[in-house]
Amino acid sequence: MNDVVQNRPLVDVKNLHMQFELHHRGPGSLGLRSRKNYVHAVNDVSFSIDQGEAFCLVGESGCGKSTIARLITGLERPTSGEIHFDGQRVDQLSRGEQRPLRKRMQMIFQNPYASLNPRMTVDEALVEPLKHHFPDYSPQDIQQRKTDIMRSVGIDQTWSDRYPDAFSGGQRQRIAIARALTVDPEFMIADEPISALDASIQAQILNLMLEARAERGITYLFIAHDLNVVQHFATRVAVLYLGSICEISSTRTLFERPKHPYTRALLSAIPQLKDDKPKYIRLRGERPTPLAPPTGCPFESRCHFATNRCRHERPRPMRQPDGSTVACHAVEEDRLDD
Amino acid sequence: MALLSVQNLNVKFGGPFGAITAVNNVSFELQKGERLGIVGESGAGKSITGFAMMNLLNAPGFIDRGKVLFDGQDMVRLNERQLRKIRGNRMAMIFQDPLVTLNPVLTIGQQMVETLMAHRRLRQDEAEFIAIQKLREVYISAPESRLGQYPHELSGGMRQRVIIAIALLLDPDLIIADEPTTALDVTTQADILELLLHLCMANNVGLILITHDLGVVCQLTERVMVMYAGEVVETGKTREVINDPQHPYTQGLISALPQQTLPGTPLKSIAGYMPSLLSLPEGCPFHPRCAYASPECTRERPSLVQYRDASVACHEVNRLHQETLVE
Repeated sequence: MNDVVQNRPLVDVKNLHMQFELHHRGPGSLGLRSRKNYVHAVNDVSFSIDQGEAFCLVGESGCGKSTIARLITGLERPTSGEIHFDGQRVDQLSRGEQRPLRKRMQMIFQNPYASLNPRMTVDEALVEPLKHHFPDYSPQDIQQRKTDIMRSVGIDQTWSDRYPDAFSGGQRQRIAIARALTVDPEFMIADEPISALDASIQAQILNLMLEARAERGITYLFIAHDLNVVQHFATRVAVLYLGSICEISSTRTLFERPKHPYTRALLSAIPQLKDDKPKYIRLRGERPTPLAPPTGCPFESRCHFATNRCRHERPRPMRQPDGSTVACHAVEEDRLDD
Repeated sequence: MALLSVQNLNVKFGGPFGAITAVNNVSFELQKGERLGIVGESGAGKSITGFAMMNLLNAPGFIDRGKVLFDGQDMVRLNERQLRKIRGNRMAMIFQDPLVTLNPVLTIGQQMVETLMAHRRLRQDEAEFIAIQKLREVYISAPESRLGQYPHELSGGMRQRVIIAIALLLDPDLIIADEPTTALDVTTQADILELLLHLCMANNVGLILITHDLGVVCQLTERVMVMYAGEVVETGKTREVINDPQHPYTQGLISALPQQTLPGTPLKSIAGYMPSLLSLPEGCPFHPRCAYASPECTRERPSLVQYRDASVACHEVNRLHQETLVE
């Protein structure tokens, strides 16, 4: 089966751009010249996800990781670029055309308090997507499927008639995952699914997602900022900074031999339990605003290896001998000390 | 004498179903310049403990029992005027969200000068001079021009630096930091942690760090206190507690971290959920989730017992310990 699918990635993102327009009120509303400003949230991002992968987007707040997730699910339309899902171009579809895709692609959000309808019981929340996507199912079929999912996700039958406010964050996230699984998706986008949860509950939810991957063969796009979680869950990682990809690499290579100076700084900043913590690489200055991203390398202003070239020329992603892809002039010119 | 000595602290919240106990019989000491971490999950009572130390609890929360001796004075019994002399002056607090802590309609300078002049007899220009000095200490560039800026003009990391500068304004003896870096990005967090550690050590300031993040505790503190459902379950030297946890809850918390397990394999999670404070189980509050629970655990609440350098509240650990003693 692997031979068949390897030719074509499940998700293919090409040169994705997303700009949000900011409306400036004030002088403009008085009849004075008004200026349009754009937030450059995603800048020329390309990557592909193969079947069965757990592909992870990592980066700090405002780097565009959630925007990319929303673009892939069709919740936003990109300014330019292409998104292909299983060979089909999906970024320009109408709502109606998107519907069959929704069954194949599901999303879990960070805040389980906001993602469940407070007026729907657990039972209703789980049955709704089934009725919507499988109109020809008999009530028995639906009940059967619902009970199967509840059992596999560890939801007690006694929860059925209760409303979300009766549950804790971890329990709600369980319900949200169950709801996403009811339609038997191939692809799941999880946007910081465990960041709002307590440590002992994080492990439960992460295990649940690992299980779904092993048993149902679900492909993941996983968004996280906690690098320890990423190291555990992901098969491949893309590091984002200010809307651009710095580095894409297999998880192992990324953690063993990070190349991009930003990746190195990010890895060195994780608070560790061990004594032999690598020295924290402090970044210079502050992150530039996405309203006016630098013309050269986005990381240039904070990089210890920046040169004149970095200031003016945007580095292109370059394939490395170990299979990773890095966008950095210093790496390309072999100026980094190892 | 210890800088801070908390004795049998009980905090309750009144409610329609009777008072619930959010902090139950917590005792600990902090020496001058010592750094203590309070770790636990949400609802464990760690923040409430922090507020109670400042006597800052608002209704319906109240201190039901116990003493909070700060430099010999019982914070619980002082009146508002006496408390004001200690709060901000000798004991400062840093919160999670710098946007909420700073007043959005006052400039950074106004907020700093106001704090200084409330406690010291200073002229405006003298206060501004100190403010600039403190901003420089927290590595804020061009501090003179920052005084005229409003909080929204600064980045999150910068705001947290300002908060730390304000906390340090009056050279306190103790800083209580409640999740000071939780709202920040990893690289910013690393900067702020380094700064806090440096400032505490350089000025011999005591630190009580309240957090859910064991990694953060490891980097900043010498001693740690683990709380669960309003109670202290384990306390000891940070390094020893992390490397060799005794209480089943601490053990579970540490082994649930992803970095403790081979990538891609199931994590060791703690089964079940934290009990609601409204319906705490009889006996040990952790027993419904504990793999080692015995009949005794369901009946009797364990108290903290000295075990090597640490204290642990667990029947099973004490029994284990006694058995090894007999051998």
